[in-house]
Amino acid sequence: MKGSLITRVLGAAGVVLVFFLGVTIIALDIAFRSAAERATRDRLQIQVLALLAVADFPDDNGIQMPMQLPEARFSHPGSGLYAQVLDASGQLLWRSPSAVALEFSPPSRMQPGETVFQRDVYADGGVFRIGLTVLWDTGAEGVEPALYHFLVVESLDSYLAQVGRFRANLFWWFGLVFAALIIAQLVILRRMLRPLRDLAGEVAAVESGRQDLVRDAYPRELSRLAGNLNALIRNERGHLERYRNTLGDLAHSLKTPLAVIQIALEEKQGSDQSHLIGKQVERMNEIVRYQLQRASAVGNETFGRAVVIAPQVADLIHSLEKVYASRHLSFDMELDAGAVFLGSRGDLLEMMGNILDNACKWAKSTVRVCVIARGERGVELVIEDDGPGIASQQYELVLNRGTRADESVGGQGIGLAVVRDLVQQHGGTITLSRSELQGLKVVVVF
Amino acid sequence: MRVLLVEDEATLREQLRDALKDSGYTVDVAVDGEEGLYFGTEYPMDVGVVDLGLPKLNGIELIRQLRGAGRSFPILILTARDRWQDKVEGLGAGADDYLVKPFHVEELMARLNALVRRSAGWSQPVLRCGPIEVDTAAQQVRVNSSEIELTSFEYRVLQYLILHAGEVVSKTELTEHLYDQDHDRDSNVIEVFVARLRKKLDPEGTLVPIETMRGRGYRFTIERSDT
Repeated sequence: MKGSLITRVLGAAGVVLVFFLGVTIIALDIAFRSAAERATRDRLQIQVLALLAVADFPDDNGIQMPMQLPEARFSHPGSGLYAQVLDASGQLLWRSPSAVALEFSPPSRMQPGETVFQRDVYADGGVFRIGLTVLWDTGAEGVEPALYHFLVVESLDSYLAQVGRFRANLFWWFGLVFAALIIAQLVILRRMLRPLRDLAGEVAAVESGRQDLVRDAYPRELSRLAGNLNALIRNERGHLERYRNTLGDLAHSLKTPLAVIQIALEEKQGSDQSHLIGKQVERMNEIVRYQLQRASAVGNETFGRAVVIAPQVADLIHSLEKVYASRHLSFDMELDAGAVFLGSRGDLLEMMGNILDNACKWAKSTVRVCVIARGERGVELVIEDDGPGIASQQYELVLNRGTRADESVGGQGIGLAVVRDLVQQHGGTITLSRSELQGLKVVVVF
Repeated sequence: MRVLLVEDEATLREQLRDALKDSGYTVDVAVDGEEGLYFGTEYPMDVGVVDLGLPKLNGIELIRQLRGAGRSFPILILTARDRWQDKVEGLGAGADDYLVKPFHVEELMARLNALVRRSAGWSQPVLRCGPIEVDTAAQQVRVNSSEIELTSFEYRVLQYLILHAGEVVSKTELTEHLYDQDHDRDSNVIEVFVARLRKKLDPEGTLVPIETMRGRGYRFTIERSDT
C-alpha cells in the first residue's frame, strides 16, 4: 500500500462528501421545484377565479369580459400570462389581449366545477395551464345552462428562472461547504499526523546516532509504537552486547589453555617437538585472535550511537602512556571536540588503539594525533610518528597482512589489517604515507 | 619482591606461581577476586598480576577496589580479551600494564620487573649506585664491574634495598616483602643476611653501602647514579 495517508483519507472523504452533498442538492432541488409549482398553481387558480368573477354572461348565451382585467399582465401582449374562454365544443369565445395570436386547447375530459392544472413542455419552452369548467345557468327562461372552459396559461420562463437562480445559489453554497470541509479535514489530518512525522524523524535520528532512544511523548495510540520501537532498539543493542560478551568468553576459554600449553612448553625448551608445538600454538593463537577481532567488529549498526571521539582518544592515550611509560613518548594531540564516530565505541577504540599502538611501538619520541570534524558527520583521523616509517611499496602488504590467517606472520602487524577491515566496514578509507615527522602517517576518513 | 597473583585457572596459576618463585618473587596466590582483594589490602605488595575473567569479583572491579582502598602497587592485567575497549577499561580502572594470553613467561617477568622498578623510580633495568650495579633482568650484581656471587635471598635483600635507595627500610618491611605469609619470620635472619651482603659487596669496608639506622632499619646510602 503506497501513497500518502492524507490523500487516501481526503480521497475517501471527498467521495463521501460528493455523494451526500449530491443527494442533498437533488432533494432540495426537488422540494424547491414542487413548492414553486404549487405556488404557481395557487396563483393561477386565483387568477382564473378572478376572471370568472369579472365575466359577464348575457342572456343570449354568450360571454363578455370587461376591458379592465383583474391582472394587468393579461392586457400586455407577450407578457407570459394568458387567458381564454372556450365553449363546450372548444370554440374560442374570448381571449385576453396578451394572447394575441395564441390559442390553447383546454385540458381534456373536464367535468363542470373541476379545476385541472397541468404543465406542458414544448420544444421551445413550456407552460403551466389551469382550466376551470363551469356550468353557467343564466336563470333566463328558455336558455339552457351552458358549459364554459376558463383557461389561464402562464409561460414557464419565470418559473425556470426562479429554479435556475435557486440552483445557482445551491451550487455556490454547497461548493463553499465542500471546500471548507475538505480544508478543515486537511488541517485536522495534518495536525493528527504530526506525531507520526515526528516519530519518523526521531527514528531517523536514532538510526544516525544523533539520539539515544525515541522520546516517550506521543499520543496514546502512538506511544505503544514508540515503546515497542525503543524495546526493539534496546534489544538490538543488548543482542550485540551479549554477542560481544559471548565472543569475549570464547576468547577467554580458548586462550587460557593456550597460555598453559605455551608456558608448559617453555619449561622444557630445546626438543624439536616442543619447538614444533610451540609454533602451532602460536599459529592457533594468531588465528583465534584475528578471527575474533573480525567477528567482534560490529561494523555499521542500524541503531548505533554516535561516539564523541575526543574523550575516547584521550582515554587511549592515557592507557598507552602507562603501557609505554619507559619510552617517555610525547603525545601531540589536536582533538576536535565536535568530531563524532557513527559506530560503536568498541570499534572506534579498536581502530584508534591499533593505529596508536603501532605508532607508539615505532616512534622515537613523538606521536601526533589529529581528530578533525569534516562536514556534518564526517571525520578525519590522522596519526603520525617519528619512527623509521614504512617503504611506500610495503603499504599494501601491511594493510593486507593477515587477512587470511595462514598468511599471518608470527604476531607481527595484523593490527593495521584489522584496522583496514574495520574502516571498510564503516564505509571509510585508510591511507598510509610518510609523515613530516619522518615516520608513518595513517589517515582514516569517514 | 612480593607479588599478588590472582588467577582462577588452576594449571596456569601453578605455572605462574612456579615461574614467579623461580624469578625470586614471594608469591601470594588468590583464586578469585575476593581473595585477591583480601591479600591486596592486607599485605604489602610490590606488584600484582591479575586475570580479568575472575569469579566472585572480576579483575576490573578488583583493581578499582584496591585503588579505592589506597593500594598503589603496580598491577599487570592478564587478559584473554584483547580488544582495546577491554585494555582501556582495565588501564583506566588503575592497572599499569596488560599482557594478552597466551604469553611468554619471559615477557611477563620483564614487564613485572619494569613495573617494580618504575614504581620505585628507576627506568633502566640496571640499577646503578656508584660502583654497585644490580642487573635486574639477569639478576646479577657487579661491584666495580666485577661480578659478585650472591645467594637468591641475598640478591632479593639487596635488590629491595637498592630499589629504595636513600629510604629507610625497616626489618619488618623487609620480611614482609621478602617472605610470604606462611613463612616463619625471624628478624634476626635479616640481620645475618645484611651482614653477609656487606661483607660480599664491600670486603674492605670502604664503601659502606648499607647503613644501620638504630631501631629503624637499614638504608642504602650510595646515591643513584642514574635512574
